[in-house]
Amino acid sequence: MVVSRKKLLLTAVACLIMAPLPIITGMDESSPAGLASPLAAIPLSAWIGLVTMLVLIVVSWLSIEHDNGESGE
Amino acid sequence: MTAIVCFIALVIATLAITGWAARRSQGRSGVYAADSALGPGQNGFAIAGDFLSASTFLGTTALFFTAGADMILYLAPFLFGLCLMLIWIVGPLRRMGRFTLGDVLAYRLPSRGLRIYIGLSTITISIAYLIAQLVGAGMLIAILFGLTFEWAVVIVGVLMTIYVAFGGMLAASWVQIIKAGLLISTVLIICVLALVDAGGLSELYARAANTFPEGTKLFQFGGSGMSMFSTISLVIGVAAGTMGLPHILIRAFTVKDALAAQRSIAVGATLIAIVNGFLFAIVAPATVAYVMGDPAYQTETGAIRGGTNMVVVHLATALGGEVLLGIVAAVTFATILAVVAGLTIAVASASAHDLYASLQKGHIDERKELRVFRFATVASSALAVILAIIFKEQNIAVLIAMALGIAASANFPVLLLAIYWRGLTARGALIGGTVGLLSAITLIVLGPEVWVRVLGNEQAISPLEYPALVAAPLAFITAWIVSVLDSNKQSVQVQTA
Repeated sequence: MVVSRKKLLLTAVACLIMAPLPIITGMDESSPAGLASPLAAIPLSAWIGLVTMLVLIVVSWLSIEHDNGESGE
Repeated sequence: MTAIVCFIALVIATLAITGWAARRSQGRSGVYAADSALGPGQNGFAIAGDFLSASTFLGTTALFFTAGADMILYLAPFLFGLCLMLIWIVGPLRRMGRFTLGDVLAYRLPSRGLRIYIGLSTITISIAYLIAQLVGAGMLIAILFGLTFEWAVVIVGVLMTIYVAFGGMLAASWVQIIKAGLLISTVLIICVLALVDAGGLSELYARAANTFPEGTKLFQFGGSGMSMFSTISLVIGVAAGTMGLPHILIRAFTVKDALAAQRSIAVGATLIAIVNGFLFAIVAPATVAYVMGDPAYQTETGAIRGGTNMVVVHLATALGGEVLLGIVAAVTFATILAVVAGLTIAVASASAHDLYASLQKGHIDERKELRVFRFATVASSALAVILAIIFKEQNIAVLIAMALGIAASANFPVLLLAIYWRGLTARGALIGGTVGLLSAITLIVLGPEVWVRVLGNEQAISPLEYPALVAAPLAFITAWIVSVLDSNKQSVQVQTA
């Protein structure tokens, strides 16, 4: 079957937003993600986690339109 | 006292739902799929309920308590897997199937052997997951309500049998929906109380950092000490496993069409992300701020009373006294009940609709099939309760890794290929799936959880805790090679039909 470009694009976005997490957490040196962050009160690690989940939600809702009516077979 | 009152109210409410559902669940469609009449919002809440288990609510916050921000590694991959499930699997799955994963494969590859295979893999995955949930449930309920482990497991087993055997998917779904609503509300209440008490978010973080022995390192990644390879295998293993979990996938059949199934997943993913976000950003740091170092929640040796899994329960006591403690205990109990009911549905429907129906010749009597469903519900519940008591001392992580590993390596590749590759033959699917299954089990046995922590060897032969990184590609490659080389005439005819 032909897989649509939008489906691949959404998959790529989901993978790209997810990829840094295991890499940062698995680094030998602990990451400099303490209290220094764009908004000083909120740790960078919290920002990274929350933004990751937010992007995954957006990708989920966008993929509904994309898959609607497509047989997938 | 509050806990007991909430517990009794919860049991009465869920039994009333079961009675209501039993009057409406007629025939296979009603019992297996709630007549496909749930709305996307309702099903989304039920999906969120399936994911927001006791291990999410209690286990991941306990992880923050010891490993800090690495807690996110145990939250985000499930959401990632759900997102990919929505993009690639759920729409076609709903269009191709009616009640079980066996229906989906039978639509493309009508092979009795393949249907039996997917039925057995569904049962294996769900039973492993069920035992893990029951072992965790028994320990928690024993602590929360002062029961023995065995009684706690038996009570959960009896209740889940009643829900599923009498109320079918409709009762299991509504128990799940109510539980999801209760859990979300409870998490929000804890967040509000923590923020009000601390005086704001920055004050809460500062208090947590001051309490944590290593200060702001609490908010740094890397606290779990896992290598990059382990973290990558964890993310891939959990995400691929999520896409192959039968009790989540069969939720697609409870709504009217593919679009509603996709909307359900999106609603579910949104609710999961909101709860996970609050747990990660507020509840988990609050456990450190309010529970760590407080003698009221420590044993004489300095350990947390009841283990670190109880830190949220202690936080509830610290913020809302006995009343909030009772509510959290009852919600935790509801969480466990709802998740095990969903798993039991997956086992019973696979037993009746895939295994029993495949072994019958000619017309299948619907009433007989539903009798088998109810018998399978009782049998699987009894088996799970017995195995949970036997595995009481075993590491739950092994069972979870096994369930996710088999789902990722035996179910997910076969389903994905059946949906997207016309060249897949029944033999290719069967052999590919079997290779995935066997390699997943082998890698789990040779990995750190079993080889080192259970069998007591010094070093693991395989570094993988979640075997999907190797086993899933093996299944894909084997299915492809066998299908390409397959000269079986029947298979060729099927794939072009």
